[in-house]
Amino acid sequence: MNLELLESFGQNYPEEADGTLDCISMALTCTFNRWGTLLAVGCNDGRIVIWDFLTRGIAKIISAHIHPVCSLCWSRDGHKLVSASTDNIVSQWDVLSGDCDQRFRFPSPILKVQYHPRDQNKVLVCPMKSAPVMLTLSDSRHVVLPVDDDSDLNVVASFDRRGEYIYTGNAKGKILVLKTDSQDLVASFRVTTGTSNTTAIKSIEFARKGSCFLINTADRIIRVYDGREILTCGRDGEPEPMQKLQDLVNRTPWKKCCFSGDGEYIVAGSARQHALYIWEKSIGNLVKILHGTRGELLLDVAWHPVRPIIASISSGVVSIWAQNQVENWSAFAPDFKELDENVEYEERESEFDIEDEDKSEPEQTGADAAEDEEVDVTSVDPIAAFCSSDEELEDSKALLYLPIAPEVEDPEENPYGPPPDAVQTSLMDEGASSEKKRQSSADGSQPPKKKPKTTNIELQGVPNDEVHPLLGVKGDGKSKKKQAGRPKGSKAGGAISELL
Amino acid sequence: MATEESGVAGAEPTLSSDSGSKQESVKPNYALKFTLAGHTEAVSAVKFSPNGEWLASSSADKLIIIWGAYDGKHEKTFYGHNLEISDIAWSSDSSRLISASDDRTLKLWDVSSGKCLKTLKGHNNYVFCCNFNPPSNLIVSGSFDESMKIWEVKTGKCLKTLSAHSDPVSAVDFNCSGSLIVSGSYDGVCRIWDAASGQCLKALIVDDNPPVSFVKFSPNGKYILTATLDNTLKLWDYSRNRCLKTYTGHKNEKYCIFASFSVTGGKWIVSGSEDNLVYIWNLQTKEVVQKLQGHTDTVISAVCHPTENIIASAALENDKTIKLWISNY
Repeated sequence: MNLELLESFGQNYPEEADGTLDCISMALTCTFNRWGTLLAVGCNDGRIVIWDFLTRGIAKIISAHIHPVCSLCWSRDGHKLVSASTDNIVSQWDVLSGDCDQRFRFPSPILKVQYHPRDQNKVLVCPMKSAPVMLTLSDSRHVVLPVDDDSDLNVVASFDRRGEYIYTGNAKGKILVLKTDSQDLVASFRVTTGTSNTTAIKSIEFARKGSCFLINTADRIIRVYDGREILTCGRDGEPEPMQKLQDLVNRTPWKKCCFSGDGEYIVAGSARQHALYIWEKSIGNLVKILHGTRGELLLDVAWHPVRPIIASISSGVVSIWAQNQVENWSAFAPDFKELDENVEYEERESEFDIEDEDKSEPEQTGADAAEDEEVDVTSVDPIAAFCSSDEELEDSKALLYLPIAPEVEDPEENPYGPPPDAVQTSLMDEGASSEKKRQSSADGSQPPKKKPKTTNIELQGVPNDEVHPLLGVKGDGKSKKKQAGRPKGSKAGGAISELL
Repeated sequence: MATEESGVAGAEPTLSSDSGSKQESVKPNYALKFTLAGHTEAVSAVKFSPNGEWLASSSADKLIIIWGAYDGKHEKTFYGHNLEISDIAWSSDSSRLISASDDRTLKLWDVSSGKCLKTLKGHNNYVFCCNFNPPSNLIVSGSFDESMKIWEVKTGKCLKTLSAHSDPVSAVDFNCSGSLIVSGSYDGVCRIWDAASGQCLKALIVDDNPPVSFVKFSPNGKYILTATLDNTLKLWDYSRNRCLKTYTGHKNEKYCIFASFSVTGGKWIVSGSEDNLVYIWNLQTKEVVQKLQGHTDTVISAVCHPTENIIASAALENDKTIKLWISNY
């Protein structure tokens, strides 16, 4: 991706709607892979739809769960996806084959799953009413992370950008920074609002570049911190946020926030209406509000890792926001220049001469010298936008694209060719098999494969009659990620259609 | 039908020294190995498959033939086009072919079954050139209707039409990451496009605007090789708009002749020519290091095998054969 050549210097932010990604299933959550080439969308019929972002077409459908998929995460090399569904199951999928590698059953609904950014053997799981759990996939073991206050178990957690630390936040505004390997507490602080009241932490999001992160709290303020400052403040520190972003006019609560790919912009989706607010991180000013269809509620927001594109989910449809495509007319020929206003053209004396007497001799500059340079036509430079600061090489085994099988409706008549064979495209297989209700443990429609290993995770003191926020509450726009008190234990699974 | 030659045809004796690429006295010693006959009209293009197993050839006799790359054996024939075929391209996994034809369509073929999977319609005149992108989910095509189209492989739909040239588009190519497209046209301009948005990013113009007959990215995507109908091949650094190397000595004033980078052994530039020879230049020093003799008509295409030192060349209707040449360097 030769970003230097693109006219939009560096990233910027999207400015207008640029179409939708629509398929039969209703979308609930979405996430880009590391390069932005594929978008995984979790749907309320349990399917994971993987879109090829270059062609805006469906690349693959994985019939993952029976219940709605509520959280997704790509592994670093793009080969695996981890998904969580509202029936408390966390599964790892192999993207190329669509097979389930492993399955974990939790006692309570899962709010978030996240791969360790550098080690895809570790997955962080945030169950409701429980301390966060770190799973080790290879031996199916799990570690429960320490919490600050055992009486309050509404905890969210996130890996930092490199996975060295895990940041957790609870309903009383206390943030703990734990070292990933040892779970030792290295730093902590409490988020206070106004006159030292505490506010619940709804989510913690890290930027893909740099050390900044943001905290979305129940007091409707987004606080942006620098991770390095948190570490220097140590335990019970009092770091100051770099920015405090909020909508002072409407006091909008935020459903989901995230950084742009280069970490320079922050987008926050409103929990009340279909609107995305974009701020510039360094200055803290609001640069854009993107409005979607009235009356719709936002469920998820994701910023493309490299391009100024945002994907947002509302009413089961993924909307894409991008920049205006302005044709760069001066690129069409070397001597084209764009003018702001009309310019009177002065004809030269020799304008229409066959032999131009006025033209100066073309200079013989060091053109010959340049032609003696060594030219290297084979070595490939890694693309700077995709490389992290602590890695030199791009991962050559990474999965950026899924193989595409062309859809074949009617094989053409071929009088001389061989008799037509049955052409099975991978997509047609998925489409046919997803019609059948699938048992959660066996792949019935395909040739017998080994059953994915299912591990039951036991957690102490976790109530097992909780309902996932996506299912339980009758939708009216209240933000559902964090609930301070016990939700009513209604098991109305059909409530989700009202929500959407 | 392949006939094997054992003699050395017009090759210069070489010094043998196992040294790095800086030895300018090392020359290739390509010798004719096989002659593949089977087409009944002029051959228009030959391409090796990315996995190195096959050679595909297209012809004015409306057929595509697949040959074994190492033994020259005739494997398959694809029927289906109504008029002459000008270009073919392989997908990255060597399982599909796209062909561009004068019947204004492109056809997507499945190699193992020989069936035409899709017909891409949309151009208004002869489709002259085509290529897959590295992930092989997009196809770009250039046509005599002065436009280029980007097609989606899965549905066969045209995603974008890029109309910026004022003369037939003679060549289109993706870079190795699939993010850029380069197009060359008879109007003398090479343009570089952003594949995802279809925006024109840059234009390269040679002095005097000779028609551009062929363009191709270097294997690392940093340079562009252009052939123009004034007997010249040039290597450009497109980000700085500079011509780095110029290769002359061959004859190219009429036909769109394919050229190629040879990087498997020594670093050469290989091209066909209208004087019935295949020319090989040293990429750095620009001198002609070998001329391969054997064809009896204009050599329209010269391509290099992805991993071995094999060149395949094809000639027009006086000759109708494809020749495979092998070298030690």
